[in-house]
Amino acid sequence: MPVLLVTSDNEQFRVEKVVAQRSVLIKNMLEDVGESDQPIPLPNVTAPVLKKVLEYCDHHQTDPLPTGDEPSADESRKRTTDISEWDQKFITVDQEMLFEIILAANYLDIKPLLDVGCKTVANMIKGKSPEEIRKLFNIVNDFTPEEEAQIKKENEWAEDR
Amino acid sequence: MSIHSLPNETLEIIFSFHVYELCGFRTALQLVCKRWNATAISFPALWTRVSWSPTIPPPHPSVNCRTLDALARAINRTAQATMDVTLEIPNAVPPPTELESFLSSANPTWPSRCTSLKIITTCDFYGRSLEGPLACLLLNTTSGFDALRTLILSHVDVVRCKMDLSSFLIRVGHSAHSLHRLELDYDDDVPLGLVQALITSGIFRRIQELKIPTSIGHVPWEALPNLCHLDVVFVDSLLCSCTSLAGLVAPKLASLRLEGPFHHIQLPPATIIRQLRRLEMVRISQGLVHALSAMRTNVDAVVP
Repeated sequence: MPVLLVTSDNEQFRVEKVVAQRSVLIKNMLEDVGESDQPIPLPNVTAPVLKKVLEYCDHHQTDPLPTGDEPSADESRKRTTDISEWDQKFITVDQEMLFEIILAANYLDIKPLLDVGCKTVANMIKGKSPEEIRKLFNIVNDFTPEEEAQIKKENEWAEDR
Repeated sequence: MSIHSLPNETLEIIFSFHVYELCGFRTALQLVCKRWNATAISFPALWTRVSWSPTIPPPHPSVNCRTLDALARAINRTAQATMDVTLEIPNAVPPPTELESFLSSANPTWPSRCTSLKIITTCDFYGRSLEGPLACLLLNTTSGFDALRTLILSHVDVVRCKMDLSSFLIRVGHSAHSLHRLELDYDDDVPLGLVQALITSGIFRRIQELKIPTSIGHVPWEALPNLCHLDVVFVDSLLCSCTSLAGLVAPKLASLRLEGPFHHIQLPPATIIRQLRRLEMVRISQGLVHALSAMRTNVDAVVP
């Protein structure tokens, strides 16, 4: 049975339930309302972003759903930044769309997509200096020279290895 | 839409993918801007692998603290998260003021949050006692080792640690109910008395996974009733020829790893070899591989 999704810019998407349910948010909503042809409003997602997100959900519709037994935050160190070939191609978008997808994945609770987006940003940062990271993401350096020196001094006692 | 729009929780996920990355990544993240600095400091996962090893290269990747002050700060940044901790007990006792400062500033619950604890001592020409620092670091709080799952004793000198080591092992035995893995890491003979201390403390009884060097000498296997995985690593020492697996009694043993090259080894009984689900052999002579394989009817993995 198809599900009707309505974006913040009032565009409607009719998708298969199995695809829509990749989103834990939508899955829970469907379970709460039961069998219904009522449209599901997604006020935090625009049409172009939802189109992209649904492309991901459609491709991964047969993947096992996350069980909730994923590593806790302090176990996350075991994670790698490897991204599959299809996901890599999918996420090759401009920065604005990348962050839109990450926010949408966060809102819609699609953990694998959130991970793909975050891994992509992590890979962009990898090996870069603070100045290069600032330039890449247009971040203003709001430290005073004294504050910067203090962080460097603090980190002398605890070298990263 | 930019990276500024991401909530702190999402920024933390991005940071978490860097935990195993390049040297200096924490500093680089902290120096981007105030928000990234605050997010990094308050994100425990960035700080949970901590080492205090003044002379030995720390495990990668870890926050390698040079001073006790630094160790306290790193511990406090882990908030309530579990930790992997490596402690090299220094030959020279730190000044009392440094020890007091550590005790007053480090969150006293930290021992109870260690899931893995590695204790190292190094050789000392003068044979100085290591009792003060070991007790100060690990026994000066009322905290037990509730979360401890893996204990690694690396070259720990039983004589120089004396009663502190004994007290430490007893506390582990009393409180570490999740402890299941023990590694004894010695390049030479395992000190006499260590195995006995591990038995009397109740630690051996809990162990399901055990990694030992051949230099351990006699092992009372009956004291390890829950042993499921055994890893024996060849170490060239005076005692190594005494190590014998011929008397191995381990009803639950499912996995055996032998890392050679063994000059000669007394093999476990055929019944033990046959009950294994996995037998891994590394740097073992072809003759030994064939001898062990011949004993098995259910060979799942034989890795020469």
